[in-house]
Amino acid sequence: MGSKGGFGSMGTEVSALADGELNAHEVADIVASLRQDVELRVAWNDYQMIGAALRRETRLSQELTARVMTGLSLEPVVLSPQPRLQSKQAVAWQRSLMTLTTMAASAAGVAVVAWMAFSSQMVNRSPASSELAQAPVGAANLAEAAIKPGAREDMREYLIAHQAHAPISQMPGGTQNIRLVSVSGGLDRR
Amino acid sequence: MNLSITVPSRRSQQRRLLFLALAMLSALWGMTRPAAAQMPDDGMQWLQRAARAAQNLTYTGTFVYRSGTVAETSRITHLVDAAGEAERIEVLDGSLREVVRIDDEVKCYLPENRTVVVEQRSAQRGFPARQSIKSVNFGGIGENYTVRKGAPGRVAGMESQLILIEPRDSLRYGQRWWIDIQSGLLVKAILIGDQGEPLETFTFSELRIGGSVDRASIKPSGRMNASNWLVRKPYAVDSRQDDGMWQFRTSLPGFHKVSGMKRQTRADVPPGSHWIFSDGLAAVSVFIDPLIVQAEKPETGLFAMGAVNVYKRILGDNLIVVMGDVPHAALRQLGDGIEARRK
Repeated sequence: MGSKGGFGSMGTEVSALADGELNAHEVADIVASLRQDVELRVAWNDYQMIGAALRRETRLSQELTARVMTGLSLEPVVLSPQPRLQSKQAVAWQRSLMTLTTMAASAAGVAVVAWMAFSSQMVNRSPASSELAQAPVGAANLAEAAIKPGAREDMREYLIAHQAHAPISQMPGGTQNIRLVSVSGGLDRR
Repeated sequence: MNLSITVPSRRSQQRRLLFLALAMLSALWGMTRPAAAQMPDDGMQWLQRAARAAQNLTYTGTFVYRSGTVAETSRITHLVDAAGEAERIEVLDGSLREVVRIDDEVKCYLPENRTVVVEQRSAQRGFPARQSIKSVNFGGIGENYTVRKGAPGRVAGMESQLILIEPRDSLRYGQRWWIDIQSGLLVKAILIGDQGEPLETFTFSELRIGGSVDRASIKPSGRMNASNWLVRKPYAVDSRQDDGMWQFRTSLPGFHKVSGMKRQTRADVPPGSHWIFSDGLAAVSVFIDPLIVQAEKPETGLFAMGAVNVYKRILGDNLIVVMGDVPHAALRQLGDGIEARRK
């Protein structure tokens, strides 16, 4: 996709990765490409979303969100050395698995945060902290961050005013106006 | 018989060789000249072309808009005729929502709230002004972004050219645009976050360019019967001149104030101010509104609405809202520098 011109062969491999059809060294290659190529990551997200839609997994449950966030905040950091695996193949597989696990965790985190952003329409990402980068985002933070319903209408109108009056050179071709309804309206139910 | 053979002189041979060399150089220069001439501004020319096509072409299509993991399919109808420019976007997933824009008036139909929000975009307000739209000004983009051509690709079955727009600093996001080679229309766009993550994606899945489109297709659907809906139409007047009440002690490098207006959303609340800053591509709005005395104190801090970030703070009896598709740090930089001017 993208730099390869359309989805192309890399897109096919991403699809195969999503379907669990690749062997270990192929996984390592495509994961390396995924780390470097933003468009491939978009393709990966697309395939995940299509899969979720086919499985009718249209939303994450809030309980799951809370559990994931609580689990992350309570997860102890293990500082003991990891046992060394003997074979090169085992090491390669472990690396692939770790990379995938990291990606999966990131994707889940992003998915949860994005879902919460839409489900509450507007999420206070860091209500009390002035340091964005250092602010730990745990279950408590996100729970407190849910915006009060009364404020939504106000922010919706600010967003509509911003989008309606922003320079037209911004993302031509309907993208500017789609934010008016996709972000500002109708997503409360998600 | 007097046979005379003309033997070219040494000087003549040199002349011919020189002529040949010049001809070859000329041909070579002719071949390379267009590319060389376009290279520095090539990406910019594509952006210009996309902006012009978006305003000049009549088209209908279906596109997928995604922000985070939420995706929506929408139908767009855009027509340009003797009466002007009109556009209708109908969201096909989830709850019914529509946007209808006729020239400078934008109407958002939100049936769940039984509300229609109307925004009138002034001819003089905003950037670029309507009268200059036909030659959209991308001024400032070159200073704030690197714009270059990427690989060609296919989107919605159309051959498209990828344009990479990369920020020169951390105050703005990058973008990738895929532009239909034949028509110049933007067929896919990705807004890219500071970690390289896609923040917002827009992709046509089906597109028909040209042909006749009836004005009736721009009208909102019958389900948007807004006769007994709440109509929210803020009163807004241009106010480019500084009213002397506020000063911006910090500025965002590369961003310039492109519009300013006084806005009144409620009859019982005094008007507030709305300024828009742009770096040629991204836009940041600053709203300063008097706090409503009886209302609950608004939440402050950093927020996200899809790809649009928000920073809210209270200054005296006013609420400052800074929002735009730029990183939070940029919003804070601008918002924290706002002060009430001493009288």
